[in-house]
Amino acid sequence: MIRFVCLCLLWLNTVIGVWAQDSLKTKTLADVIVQSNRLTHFTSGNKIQKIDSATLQSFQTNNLADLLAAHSQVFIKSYGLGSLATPSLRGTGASHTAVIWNGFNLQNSMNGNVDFALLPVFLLESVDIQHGGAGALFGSGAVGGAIHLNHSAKFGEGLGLTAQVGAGSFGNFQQGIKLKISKKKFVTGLKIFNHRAENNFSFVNTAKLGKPTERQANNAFKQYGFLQENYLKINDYQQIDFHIWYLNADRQIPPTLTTSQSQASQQDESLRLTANWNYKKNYVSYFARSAFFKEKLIYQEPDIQLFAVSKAITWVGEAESKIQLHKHQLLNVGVNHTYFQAETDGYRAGKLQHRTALFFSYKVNNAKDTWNAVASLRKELIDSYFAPFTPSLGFEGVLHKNWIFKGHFSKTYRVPTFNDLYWQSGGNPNLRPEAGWSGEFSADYALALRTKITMTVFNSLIDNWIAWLPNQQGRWSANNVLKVWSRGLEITARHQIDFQRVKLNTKLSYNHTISTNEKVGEGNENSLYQQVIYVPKHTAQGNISLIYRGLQLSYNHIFTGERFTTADSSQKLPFFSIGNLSIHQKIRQFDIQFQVNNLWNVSYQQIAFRPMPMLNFQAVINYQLPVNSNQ
Amino acid sequence: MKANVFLISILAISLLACSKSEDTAPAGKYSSGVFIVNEGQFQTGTGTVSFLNRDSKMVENDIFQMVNNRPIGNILQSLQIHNDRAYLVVNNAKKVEVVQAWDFKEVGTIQGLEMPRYFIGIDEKKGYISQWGAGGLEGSIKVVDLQTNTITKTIQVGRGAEKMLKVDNKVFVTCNGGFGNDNRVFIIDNQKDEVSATINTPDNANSLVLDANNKIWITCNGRSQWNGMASVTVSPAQLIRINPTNNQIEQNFAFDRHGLNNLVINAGRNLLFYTYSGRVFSQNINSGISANPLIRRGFYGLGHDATTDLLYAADAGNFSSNGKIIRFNPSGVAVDSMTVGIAPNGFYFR
Repeated sequence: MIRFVCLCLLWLNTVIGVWAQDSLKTKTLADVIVQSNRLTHFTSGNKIQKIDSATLQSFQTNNLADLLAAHSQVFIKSYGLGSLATPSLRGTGASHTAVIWNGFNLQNSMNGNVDFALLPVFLLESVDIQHGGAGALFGSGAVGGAIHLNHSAKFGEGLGLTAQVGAGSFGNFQQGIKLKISKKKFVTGLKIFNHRAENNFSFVNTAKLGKPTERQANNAFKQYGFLQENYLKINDYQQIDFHIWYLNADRQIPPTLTTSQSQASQQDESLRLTANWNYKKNYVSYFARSAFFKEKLIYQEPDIQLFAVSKAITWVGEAESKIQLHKHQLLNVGVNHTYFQAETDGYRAGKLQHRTALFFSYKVNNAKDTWNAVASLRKELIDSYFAPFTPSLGFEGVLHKNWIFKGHFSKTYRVPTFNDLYWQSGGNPNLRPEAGWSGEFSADYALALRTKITMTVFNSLIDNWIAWLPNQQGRWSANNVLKVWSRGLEITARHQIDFQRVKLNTKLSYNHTISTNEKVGEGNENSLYQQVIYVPKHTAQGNISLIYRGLQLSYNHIFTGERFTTADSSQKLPFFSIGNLSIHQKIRQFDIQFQVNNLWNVSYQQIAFRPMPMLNFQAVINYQLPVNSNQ
Repeated sequence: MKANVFLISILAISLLACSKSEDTAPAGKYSSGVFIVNEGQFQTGTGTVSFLNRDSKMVENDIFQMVNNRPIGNILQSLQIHNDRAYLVVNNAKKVEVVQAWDFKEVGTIQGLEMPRYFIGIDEKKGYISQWGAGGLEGSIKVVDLQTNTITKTIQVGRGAEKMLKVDNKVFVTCNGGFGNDNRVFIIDNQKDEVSATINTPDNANSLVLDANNKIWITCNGRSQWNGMASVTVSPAQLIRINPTNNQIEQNFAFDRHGLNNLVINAGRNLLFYTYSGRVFSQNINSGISANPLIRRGFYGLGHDATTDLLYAADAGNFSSNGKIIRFNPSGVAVDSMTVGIAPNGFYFR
């Protein structure tokens, strides 16, 4: 019984722990390898949201899209249950959010996207959302922001084993195992998971005569994969680690409400290998890392005899440093070389690209660490031309014991994708990188660690935005035609109430985003000054959770305002408002969770004519082997 | 009791209304005017129909959604009115929506189609639908029972069965190749519902009209190939004239490049209009290809309104936001323009 209470307390600690991280003090964790050097040490002024571990724990059977849609200010565009899901941060497009895994950008070199429906939360350890431009630190694609997925290891923790099974509506079954062996000098871990779902949910087909209720057809989803990690302490100063991450997904692509049946399917396979070396002694740290990514996508549409294979390979080599110049000054100098190779039906012969980037950051803080500032620069060579020179400046300071002010300004850019450059027909080898800048101010108000309010205003401009548009002959091609201006306001408020042994956490957030076309291509004057498609002007979220001993009851509500679906704002999707309920109970080594999704049984669409599931359920049982701290 | 009186009076009124409509041709908001076919956004969108009132010059957009509270479906290819019913051929949704032509109220859906393109009414009970077939590499005519809206027969024709024209008891079917190529016009005996003859034509015939002399004019697009940078002409476009009594090609006008489409004819049936190489041309049925275009820009669709003697041209713009129609007088001078739905491709004048 005592152990049970202890576990509960431990668990509560993780929930509440995140509330207490509000000083500017650099968090130093002994015996933890920090690979996210730039995010941890050289980011200042950006609004950064860390998804807390309790929330991560309650999304173990969901994908990253589900998690971010419910618990972040990243707007997720989902094409349906299990279908493609892409992010939009601060009114930007799907390829304007970098996804940085252990320091490496996962954005696909062919289309610039990362499909968040294919990233299972089960394999992730931490999710940090960096809002706003971060081009100087993270390069091409970090325009609206960057999402960081980092893994780390603690030495000397012994054996850890977690097994999980889940089942849900629409033939949804999942199994997963996590194993970790943590010795004094060596940590190895393996996570394996398997997911199958029919996803044949019912919906009202509002596009058919008589508006019949139908079951979604051709929507099955299969995914399996593993993540294997190894960390080795060579000596007191040196550590190395290796990661192997493999994912295999096979999805059917369902029809839309306005088309008839579909036989299309898509297979995604990815293998990602990374190696890191870290040296730390006195005032200097060095990092050398390398990655190899191999991705394959097969899209089939037997109706039109389409069988399209796309293959991409990425090699990355990177070295950087963290040098303590002075007691209160840090310097980072780094170099990155990336080699991309891709082939697809649009460019059968295959294409390749070399990019070399130099980056530099300088951080200064005062003795009490109540303020700091970071200046960064990045210069990137793409094959034979230079991307725009990218500086950034950020600062944050404690203004009053309850108030922290932050500001960040950055140039941003995005290198054209292989499809934009070379796809036949329509690819344009003369495309220039998109270029812009973003700026933001935040004020954080905290009161006795129980109340925290963050307010942010942002303003950004992206010029030479690449869009595919038809010319007068109806031929589509990629051009640097658009200029998009995004500005808005983000507010997050959290409050915690303790009443005897009951804890009540509430979190509310609201986003106001105006993102307009300031320059459009010839013949598209109708879309000038109009809101960018699929960017809602208003979104809001509410989370409330009640914790009593081993029981946690959480309710999440999402409001998404109307979104235009055409560039001239002539067509739109109505707002929707959905709720999700989750009940957690810890019983000894078991953690039992029950989720009710779309509690109010709302019929809605995120993408026009793509139905979303109504009321549905999910149950998960998680078993955790007691930690043996004696090793 | 009160309720009963109410019900009876409602019933009486509706009966009265019914008998009234049986006696005279039904009249409604859309009895007279111009229907504009808007394909809608590719992949996720829905086609729409816009309606232009010639007198007020007002355009009402998306009338199907307004009346029936649902979208038509993905890629509206064409609209044809027959027996006071409008047939909306929805390509990617593989169906034909049937509505009452005068008020656009839904009455049925014809299913069991693969990439349907155009509808033509044969008689009170029968209609034909041309289709490209699964994969867009076949072509057939589906015979439809107009009373049950079901398919009764399939007639195999050439690749990419496209526009149809009925002359006496013969239906001429152009075959534009679909996603491939073809070089035939098929002739169907509409009493037997069988192919009675084929005519070999230049490559990829796509549109056809009947002139004042009862001769059929057909635009043949020609053939092109993508060389990695641009479409290269393999065989150039040709405009041909067929005599429907003996199925012979009587005249043949050749162009330099491929890309000839959207053939329409004026009310007097002596002046042809078509699009070629990003221009609109007009051509008298007794003369050759004009050296100068009528309008120095291309359009996604053309129509000629006999009532006003105006040429209607569809500007699909960027295919992803609302398009425009522009009306031209016979000498090619723009009269006015109106905003319609996304990707307008054709007209039906009533």
